[in-house]
Amino acid sequence: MISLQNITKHYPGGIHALNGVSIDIDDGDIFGIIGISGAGKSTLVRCVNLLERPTSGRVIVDGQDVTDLTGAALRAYRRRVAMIFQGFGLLLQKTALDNVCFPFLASKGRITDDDRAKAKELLARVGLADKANSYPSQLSGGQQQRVAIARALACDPEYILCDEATSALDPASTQLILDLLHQINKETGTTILVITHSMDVVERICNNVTVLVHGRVVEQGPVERIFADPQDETTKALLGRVSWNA
Amino acid sequence: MPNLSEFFANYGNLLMQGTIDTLAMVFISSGFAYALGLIVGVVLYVTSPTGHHPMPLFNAVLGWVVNMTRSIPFIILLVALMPFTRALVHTTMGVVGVMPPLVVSATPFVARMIEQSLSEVPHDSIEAAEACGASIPRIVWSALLPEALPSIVRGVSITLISVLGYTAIAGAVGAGGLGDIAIRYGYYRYEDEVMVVTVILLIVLVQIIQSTCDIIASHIDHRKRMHMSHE
Ligand SMILES: Nc1ncnc2c1ncn2[C@@H]1O[C@H](COP(=O)(O)OP(=O)(O)O)[C@@H](O)[C@H]1O
Ligand SMILES: [Mg+2]
Repeated sequence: MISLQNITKHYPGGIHALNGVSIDIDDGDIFGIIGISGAGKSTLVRCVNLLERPTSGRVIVDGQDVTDLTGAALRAYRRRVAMIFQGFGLLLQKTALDNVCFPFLASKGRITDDDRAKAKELLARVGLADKANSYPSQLSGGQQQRVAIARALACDPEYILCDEATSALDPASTQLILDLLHQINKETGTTILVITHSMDVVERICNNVTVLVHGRVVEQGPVERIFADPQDETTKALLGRVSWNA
Repeated sequence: MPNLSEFFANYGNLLMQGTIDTLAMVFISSGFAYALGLIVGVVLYVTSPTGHHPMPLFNAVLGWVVNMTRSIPFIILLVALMPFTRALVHTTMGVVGVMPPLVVSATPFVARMIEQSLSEVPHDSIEAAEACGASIPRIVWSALLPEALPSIVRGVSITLISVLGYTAIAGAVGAGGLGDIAIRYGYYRYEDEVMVVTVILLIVLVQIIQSTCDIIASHIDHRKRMHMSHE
């Protein structure tokens, strides 16, 4: 379980990206965090794997306070929490296979034949068995994101963080990626944290959702309830029930 | 205009030796400069305020040292370093005597180019590597440098050509090589043909260096589809 406790994040220049966010994410859940651009979603998810250090507050994972981890302990923790980015984050000079193998390199300093076999299985799993030797520039956006998902799965993560994973993709690729994430969640029980600005994405795969506005949680609960009975104006606007300037 | 075979009978060996000396100075000095400059460039990148291991004060001092060295004209550096050069290689003359100042002069140049190449790598890819749990040395060695390699190779041609220019300056104070020949024969003896030929040789060298680096860089660059020629 990931427990975010009263997380604040201030950037130099008086920017308060997060103002006391508390969220509990149960194991096995697909949990959505939705908000408009600038709401602090990326900052929040980057606090989970500590690419960003919270200014205050605690990140507790399975009862362990990880907020102040450094060095090898931090790197070991990051291997339990994979991340998928809007811009894919692939290494452009490496083949799809080498990208998927990168987490092995990161954890052990070398890539064994077993690792390569596993990476090939993962590429097959995301439907890219024939693209192992392709470079990212030879793949479509949807294919690149699938490589990124295969890479995320390489270390058998307990959690997968998706920061706008489908925002750069066309509807067909979006569907494919969301189905894939759903499938992974069902088969392996991996907890998935989905950051998005799209209620559509939330509706399609999330069980629970949190609405973030100006770095604050304004609404939180099961997706069915939020969709059936939104309370906050931003939630209503995100749902298209009221116009934005209402 | 004396005929060509007569010219080469007289000066062929001289020009051949000059070319070899020049190439030795350029490539050996640049090799050392890259060994050192790569380290300095990576350190500058990693310790910058937005880097993976920010050390603002150290970074500022190192950046200042690099800038200081770069702002000294080569000919002055060459003279100023003579005691150091003599202590290091026991001579300040010839091909060997000019290498220490060439290395000292090229290293900060290389460092800045490496730093520049590294900073062109998309932040996304590097952050993803970090999120995989890679250590800083691992990120540098297995992500940053390979991603920056085509840009670094393009920088190599700039470095080699600059160092080639420095060797010509060094020729003025007895370093040997094509610059030395051009100055001795063209300036002191008014043997214009020799100078013209050295100039042609220098132009050819620059072209070869430039084209070779460009070909290598576009060959190893996988950011564009491979059957496309690079820009
Ligand atoms: N590294 C940073 N430095 C300064 N301000 C930042 C930085 N990252 C994000 N911000 C600011 O924090 C706020 C939240 O940003 P972000 O978390 O990216 O929002 P979202 O992902 O919801 O669009 C924005 O106002 C943004 O400009
Ligand atoms: Mg964002």
